[in-house]
Amino acid sequence: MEFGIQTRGHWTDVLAIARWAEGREDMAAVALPDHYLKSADEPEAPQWDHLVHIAALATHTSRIELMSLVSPVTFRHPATLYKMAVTIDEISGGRFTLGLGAGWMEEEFTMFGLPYPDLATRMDMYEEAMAYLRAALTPGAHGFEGTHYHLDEFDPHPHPIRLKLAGGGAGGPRARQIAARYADEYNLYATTPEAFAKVVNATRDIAVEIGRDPDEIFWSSASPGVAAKKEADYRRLLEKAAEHFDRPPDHLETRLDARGYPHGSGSKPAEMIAALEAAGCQRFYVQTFVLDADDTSTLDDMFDAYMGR
Amino acid sequence: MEFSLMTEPHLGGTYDQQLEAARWAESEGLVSFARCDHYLSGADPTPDATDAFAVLAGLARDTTEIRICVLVTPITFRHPAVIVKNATTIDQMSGGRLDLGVGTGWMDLEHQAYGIPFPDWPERWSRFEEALDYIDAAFGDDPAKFNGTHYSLDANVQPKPAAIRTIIGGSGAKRTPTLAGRRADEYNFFLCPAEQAKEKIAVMREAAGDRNVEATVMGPALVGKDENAYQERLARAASRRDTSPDDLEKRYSDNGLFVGTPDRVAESVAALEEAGVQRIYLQWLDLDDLGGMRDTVSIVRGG
Repeated sequence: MEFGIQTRGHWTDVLAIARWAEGREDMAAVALPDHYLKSADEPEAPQWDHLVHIAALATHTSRIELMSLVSPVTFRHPATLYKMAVTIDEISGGRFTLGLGAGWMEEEFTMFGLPYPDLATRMDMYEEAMAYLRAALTPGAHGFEGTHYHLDEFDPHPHPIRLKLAGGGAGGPRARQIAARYADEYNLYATTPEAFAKVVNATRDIAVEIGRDPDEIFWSSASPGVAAKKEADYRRLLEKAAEHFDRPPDHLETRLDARGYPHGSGSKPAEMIAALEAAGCQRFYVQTFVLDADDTSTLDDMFDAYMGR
Repeated sequence: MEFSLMTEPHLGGTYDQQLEAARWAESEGLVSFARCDHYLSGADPTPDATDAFAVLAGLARDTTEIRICVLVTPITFRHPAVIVKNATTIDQMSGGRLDLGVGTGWMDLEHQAYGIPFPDWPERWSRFEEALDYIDAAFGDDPAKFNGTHYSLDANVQPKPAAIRTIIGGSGAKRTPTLAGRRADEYNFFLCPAEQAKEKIAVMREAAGDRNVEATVMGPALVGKDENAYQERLARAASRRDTSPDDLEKRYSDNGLFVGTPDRVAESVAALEEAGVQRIYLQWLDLDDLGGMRDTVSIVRGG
């Protein structure tokens, strides 16, 4: 299993986390979410543009992969996504993965006046944007004609060095179709290994049906990081996470167990990771939104627990 | 007179070339490094046109002193929410060094090719004005509210900019200078003869009243350190454009662009200064020829 860290926040914190990850050879990637509103309950919390952060991270790092996990399709026209992504690809020397999804936090769209059509339409837009991006990123004049987006039949420049497209979503039939067709990476939010394997298999079947090598799809997952080597440290993290999610710690723990989010102390986190790996997951992004960026000893301990070190 | 460097990377130019130009401008003490925001250069799609905000994001961290500028971003490319978040993020990472130029968008070809909606001029102007209102509201006190026909905002928008300056640019004689005078920190227009510049600036000042708005121009130079060097460059440029040196010189000169030897350029700069121009963005197109850029900027500045 490969590991990534998903972080967010003020630039200095994001940079500190990226430098920490770059310094740990067993870390594969740094991922940032794309939201203009932290949550509906915290409307005054500052938010930044994640692609701007990632472009700047590209200048400060040299090894680690950078990822957008994931960007809601109605924030930016696919032309802008293509141009920003391919510029980040160039600055980073081919270390960027652009993730796309349908968007879900309704309040951020309504507050900022961004379009938020019904889910079926957003899924249509997500599919068309993925098709548009695939056409724009594949050297040659391909073009794309959809209901929402259009790309003339010409060869857009620059060509990417090694820009990857990731699909998000909860793993429903529509999202599987889109990932099977267009995604280099499919990020499925953490779920039980059984459910994960079901989506992997169904998506691979679709890929075979449409004549694509199913091994081309890289499988990843993400969930909140609540793990430590020692039980007392885990309990402390659980309390912090419980406060963040606004629920009692034991309630949160029950939920983590029920949903299959890797967590716990001792050998449990690594065992849960191993079960996800057996279900087909190749990379796990640990979300560390509740940790301070300078608390690298807690970060190290958490990842050691997940990695079974 | 103050100077900035204006580049056009939709004609090509890697991030590293843009960075080298920006670092040189920084080492020379120029006010800012500016670049356009276009996705195509006419009908030819092959130049590697990078994204303005992604490049400025990198430059925010790879430079330390110089201001960095987008001149100008078309409101057709991005929803004003995205412009606001891109700008405030770059502002914070750069320590308050972003100059944000916003315009209506004009190159229909790039919109067609990439399928970006390009409404007619009245609607683009209306969207432009609303985008400015939206951006003003977002940069102002919370809760930020704006309710227009095209855009709406009702949010706490954090962080606020530390020191973003806004630029309104365009060649028009009336509407653009009036709008810039009323609401921008800077009014920018393309190089023109000094008497025309004076008229435009007067319109802007009239609209600005007590507001402090900087008047700037942007345009190219065709210059040489002496008559021989100038004639050589002029001949090369003329043959590239398939015209005669005399015709090209006349066209440049009639339009108020910088031509000739240092003393002649110095006269043009002095005339612009007299007309009220406070800063010149010297436009340099070919990022493969940074030597030519350095020579040209030095001549115009020295002149």
